[in-house]
Amino acid sequence: MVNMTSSDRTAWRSGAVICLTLLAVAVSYGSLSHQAGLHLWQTALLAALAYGGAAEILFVGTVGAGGSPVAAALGGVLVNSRNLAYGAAVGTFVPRGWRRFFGAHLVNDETVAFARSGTDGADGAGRWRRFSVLGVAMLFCWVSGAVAGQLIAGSVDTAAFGVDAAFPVILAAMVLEDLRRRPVLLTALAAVVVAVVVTPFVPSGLAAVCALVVLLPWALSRGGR
Amino acid sequence: MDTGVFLAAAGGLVVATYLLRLAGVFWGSRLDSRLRFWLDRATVVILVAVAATQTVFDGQDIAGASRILGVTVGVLALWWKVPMLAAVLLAMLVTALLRLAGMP
Repeated sequence: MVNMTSSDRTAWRSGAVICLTLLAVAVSYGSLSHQAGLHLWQTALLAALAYGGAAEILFVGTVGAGGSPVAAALGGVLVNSRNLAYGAAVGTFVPRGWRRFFGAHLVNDETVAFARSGTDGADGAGRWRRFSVLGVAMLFCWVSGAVAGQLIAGSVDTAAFGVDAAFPVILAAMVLEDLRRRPVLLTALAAVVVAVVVTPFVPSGLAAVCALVVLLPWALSRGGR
Repeated sequence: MDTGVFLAAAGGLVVATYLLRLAGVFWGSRLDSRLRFWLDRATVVILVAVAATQTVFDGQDIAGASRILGVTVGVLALWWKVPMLAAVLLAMLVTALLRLAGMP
């Protein structure tokens, strides 16, 4: 067995908090999915294979609002595109062989951040251990929570509990640290205004894509930096 | 949701997402830093825009004030470094109480 230092124990405790929070998000994702008209097998399959909280909430939210499935899928892919950069970090410590193909599926915001924490942070084997253990635990929480959420939503009036207020806050939490930088905050506020103003006039699900125009003046004035 | 439409849309999302992850693991270190920067910005813009529309609208109709107020409280709590789980529960609590009091 591995000897655990106190710093390791702190790291694993924060891993447990991550799983608990994810479980709560998964339950609300399952209930949203139910409202959007997805079947239980569809919710579970999407949770297990797409394995990206924000992208899936975006996907079922768009479909649920009557948006086109193509817009829902494209939006989800764009949101998941950050995993390309995360994958680069994971590529430095994942063992060679079949584990690369398995490890790739576990790449997400939390597993990458968690892999970098702890005392044996510089050691590739320690990083791989933290990354893979949390990745599998999160996958289990995500799928089982989503299934539970869908079953609960079928028998309980979720609106009375304010569940619909949970998703925007969950999405905001995922970008909050970015928003503390002023240029990002200003861009985000402009995106909010554009999205809200165009929503009544564009097909459902496209408002968020329209908000991308706010990047245009920034890109032109700063030459891509 | 219709099985064929679901399999096409969700299948696209699933396959594209896995290929992005795999490409990152194998070739991510060679990724252009400017591309990475703009993907990052686009992600923040999309997530914030979706959060805003989910707050203010039900489909294309303006949503009730109870959800808008609840979400506002939750986001302010996040800003003041309340943990995500607590902020989410707070937003739900405010929304539920306002509805109980009869606000739409």
